[in-house]
Amino acid sequence: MLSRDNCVKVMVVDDENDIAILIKKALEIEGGFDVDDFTNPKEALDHFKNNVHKYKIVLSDLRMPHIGGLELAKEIRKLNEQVCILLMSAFEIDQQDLASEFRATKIDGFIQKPVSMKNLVILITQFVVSSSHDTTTSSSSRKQQ
Amino acid sequence: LNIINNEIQQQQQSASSFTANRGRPVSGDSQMILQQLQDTKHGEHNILIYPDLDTLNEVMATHYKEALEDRNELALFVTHYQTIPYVRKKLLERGELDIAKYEQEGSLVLYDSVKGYQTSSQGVYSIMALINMLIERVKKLGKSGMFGMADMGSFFLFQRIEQLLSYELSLPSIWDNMKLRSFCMYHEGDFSRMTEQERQALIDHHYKYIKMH
Repeated sequence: MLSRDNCVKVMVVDDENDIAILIKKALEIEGGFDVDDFTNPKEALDHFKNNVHKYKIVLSDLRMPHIGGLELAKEIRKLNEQVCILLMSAFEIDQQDLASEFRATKIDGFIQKPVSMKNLVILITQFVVSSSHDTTTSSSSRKQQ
Repeated sequence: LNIINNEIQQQQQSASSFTANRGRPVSGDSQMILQQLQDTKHGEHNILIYPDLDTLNEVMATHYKEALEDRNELALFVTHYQTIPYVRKKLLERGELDIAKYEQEGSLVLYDSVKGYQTSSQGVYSIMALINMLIERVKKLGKSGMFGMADMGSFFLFQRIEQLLSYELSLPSIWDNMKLRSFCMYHEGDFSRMTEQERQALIDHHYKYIKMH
């Protein structure tokens, strides 16, 4: 688990307020991350535009009105090639069906909901460690789906 | 002779009411929209804009109960932003529907929009294939007709607005010879992302335009 000194910054985007708050609390309390949560993906994108290098991880729901997770990821990726983008969904996703979309958007990972907060913290921590390693070994390398 | 005349008169009234109501925009709160749903007739292919999922669920649960229990219709719900188990929960909580019974007998069908419109081998017309199959089931089950609501959100997720327009505009405004009344649903946040021209084309093409506040 990362110490608060490292304070990795995470952006959480989920149109369900309860879920966004739950994830924020879990990542902050159990993972020691510094989390900004958004329920409106449009606001999240505007915030990201003004803070392009603030976040190490963006964790977003897939199906949201206003801007869907794929579009949000595309826009964020245009602004920052290095940020780790993870999508999540409560829908049973056939990853084969979405593989090309995920590749085109350079999504780093997909999390199937429901996920326990304990497991989510472990997953995010793993992605942080892994992406730190990637950037030190090869700044252009990216995890494949 | 009077009976025949009455029948002809009813048919003429029905045909003229279709023409009179065509493209009539309706907007209002959930109670007013519920009334609009209750007033829809078989043949109508309508468009419904909803502001948020809570408001939609309130109307949806009440009207699905009416469709299944009072109208004896087969009901289809194509969901995008809410999972199928969540829709079941809402129908149970708000509509107090015997979901298990209706799903088991095949008169309530809940379907995922991504599978229905985006990832099926039949493409966007997979839902129409499902509807045609369900219309056959209407006859077998002795139902009075079919009621369906389908969220178009998946087209926005995949950013396929052109396909959405081409699909919507390829469907008729009135389902001829089909005992089907249907609503294409759009979340306000999605609908507002289209251009004015695109929105108007969709509004004009549907039989009735209903906007929920």
